[in-house]
Amino acid sequence: MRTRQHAAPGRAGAALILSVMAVMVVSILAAGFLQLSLSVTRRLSSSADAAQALNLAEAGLAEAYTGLGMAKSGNVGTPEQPAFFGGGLFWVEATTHASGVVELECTAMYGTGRATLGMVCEPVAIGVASLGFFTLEDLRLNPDVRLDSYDSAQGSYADQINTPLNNQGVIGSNGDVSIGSNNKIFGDAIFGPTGKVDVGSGAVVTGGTSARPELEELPPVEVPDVAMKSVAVKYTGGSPMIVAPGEAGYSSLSIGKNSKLVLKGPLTFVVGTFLLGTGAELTFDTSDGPVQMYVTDSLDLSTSSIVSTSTQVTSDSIIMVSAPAGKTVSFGAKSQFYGFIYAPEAEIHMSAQYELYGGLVCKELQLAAQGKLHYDLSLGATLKSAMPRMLAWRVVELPQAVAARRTDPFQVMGLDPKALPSPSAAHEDQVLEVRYVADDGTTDTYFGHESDFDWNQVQELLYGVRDGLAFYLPDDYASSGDIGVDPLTSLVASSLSSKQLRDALLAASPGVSAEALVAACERNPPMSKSDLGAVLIANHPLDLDTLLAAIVSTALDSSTLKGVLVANSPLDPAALAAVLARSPPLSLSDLTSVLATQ
Amino acid sequence: MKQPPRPRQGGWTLIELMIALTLLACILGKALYVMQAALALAGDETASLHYEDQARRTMDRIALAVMGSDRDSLVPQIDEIHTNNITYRFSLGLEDGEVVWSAPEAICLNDGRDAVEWCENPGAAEERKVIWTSLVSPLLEGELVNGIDDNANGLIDEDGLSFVLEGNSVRIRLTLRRPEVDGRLVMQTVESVVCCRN
Repeated sequence: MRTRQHAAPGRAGAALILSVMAVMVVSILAAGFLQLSLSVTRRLSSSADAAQALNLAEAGLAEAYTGLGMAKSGNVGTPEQPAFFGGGLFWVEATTHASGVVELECTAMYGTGRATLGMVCEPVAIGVASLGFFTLEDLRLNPDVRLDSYDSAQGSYADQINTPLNNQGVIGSNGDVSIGSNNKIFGDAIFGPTGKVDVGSGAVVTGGTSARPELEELPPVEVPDVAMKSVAVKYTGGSPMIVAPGEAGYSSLSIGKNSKLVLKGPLTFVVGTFLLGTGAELTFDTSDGPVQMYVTDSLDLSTSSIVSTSTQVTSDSIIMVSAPAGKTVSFGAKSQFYGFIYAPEAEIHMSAQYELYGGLVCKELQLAAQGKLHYDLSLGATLKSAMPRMLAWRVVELPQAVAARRTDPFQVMGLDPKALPSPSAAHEDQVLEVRYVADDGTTDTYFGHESDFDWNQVQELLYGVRDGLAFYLPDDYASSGDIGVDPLTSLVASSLSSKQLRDALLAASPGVSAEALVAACERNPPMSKSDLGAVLIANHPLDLDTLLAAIVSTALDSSTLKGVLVANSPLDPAALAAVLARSPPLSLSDLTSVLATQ
Repeated sequence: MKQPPRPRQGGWTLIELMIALTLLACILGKALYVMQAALALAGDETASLHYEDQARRTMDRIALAVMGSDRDSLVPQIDEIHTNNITYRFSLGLEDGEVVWSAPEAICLNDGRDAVEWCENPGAAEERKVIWTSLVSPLLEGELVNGIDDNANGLIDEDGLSFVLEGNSVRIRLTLRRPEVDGRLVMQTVESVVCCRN
């Protein structure tokens, strides 16, 4: 029989006690090291998160800064819909101040890290001048107004008529835009966010029409502190009254009949009430520097007075009007004024004989019928000066809401990182106008909100504008024929009647481009034979392409075509062959007449 | 008659007991040694991390201050030569469309040269001082007062806090030092180069 032996009572549990003690010692050590390790990890992680958040905030500022240089607003993402980048998120808020500077503030979150950085930029040339011809209130244009554009940096207006640069005007308002009958708007019309555009009969807008994304705010005129002559001055002398360079101020100045006032730059000229009487003359002499004229009460340039500028540099002759609404601000003079007029609180009356080259921004505009406005593109931004200038950078105190919870930002804000846009896609939406070469090789244009445009289809960008401000112009854009459409070609393609089109083309003759003439020959609905014939004859000698287009055009009858061919004889053999092959053929007598001139 | 086998006596013999106690003493002694060594190591590591953490935090504050400062306001002009103090102004943002700059501030060693001091309106009646960190080494790590560049950083006899202007950037070096109870010195040096943004 086997018996089970039991351990002696005195030995029971001794090994267990030792084992437990050993395990406890090891456990305490392990726990201590674990605690240390966790502490180190937490500290390192927190430090790394803070550094990463700072880097993200820098990246956000860089994104917004670059955007400003591309005519974007500077707003990137929002607290509700931030941009996702580098495993964290950020948003940039841009505030444009009255002085024109833009304050960017970027808040970034990464893990437990939070950072807010601020930057103050001065967007170069992004000023009110880039608005073109703009009014705060509804803009109603009287009939037969012409608005177009040119670039004073590329030469004179006359040299740029019927070139692509002539077709980039901008007209707009914060409200409605009514384009009167027979207006020729060679460029874009941009109305207010809740406004609309009305195009009268026979009127043409060669560019796009669209709503601006938000209301434009016009900064008030800051009148410089200049010593003013308190007594009213009325000058009636025979010799010109010359205001010397420097500063000058008059509470009231009246230039009498047939007298002359010369403002000699560089000059800051402040005047309360200014009257240019009958036959009087005002000259902005900017040969040695710019002239800035501030009008604080009223301005009246009578209809038989004359205003002139000594140079054609539009940025050198500035008229700033701080007169409130209800005061007379009348530009009735006969003038070819090269300059910029700014009157954010005034209603401006402008006669048809006050031909303005430059820009005009005001509260209200009453432009007489047949008025002419020529927007100077150089007043807006150019690529050479488009990058903003950084004025200050700083670390901003974290907003309370951001600093409060230092955990995963996506959890804190209830966001799905996959649903957030990338930084480049998070920029505020704007009105975009681009001309580009598409993937299929065709040249195309787009005008509308940028969010609706697919940049992937762009193979090569030819020209780009955001909210009326150019962000891409090729170096040779002034001479390149590919980047813009001849405004007259746009005119031909418009819904103008045959007679209206004839008048417009005859007005531009004999300088109408071959492209526009060919388009006129191929137009559908066709021009009347007499209208087309008159235009073709007014532009002889015609090049071969135009002649061939005229020969095959169904708009011309045998007799009218004969007149065109005779006027351009002797004909090129190719043209002659086309005449002989024409269907329907020329009448025998017309053909004989043409052949006789060869 | 066959006697039943005598049952084995319980307990240990004296020899067994001696051997067991000896082994136990050895094991416990070893465990104690390991634990003490581990705790000492952990203590060193903790202290080192603490100093590094303190040095990094101080460096971050200095770096952010220098980043936000107007380079032209850095006084003295520390071009080429190192210094242990800078005076600067930084942007406070915009007011009425104009950039507003702060009152002058300074980062320097205190009178005892053993603490980094931040000072607002230095020298003015409304001067305000804050110690950002103590335990600053009299000299940067590896440097001796002998007129020679001992630590091969291009500087001679530099203090525990030094600034060197390099173009638009400022190189900042900081060494913290603390003697331990066993006489050892725990030193932690951090270095950073930051660009003046303004």
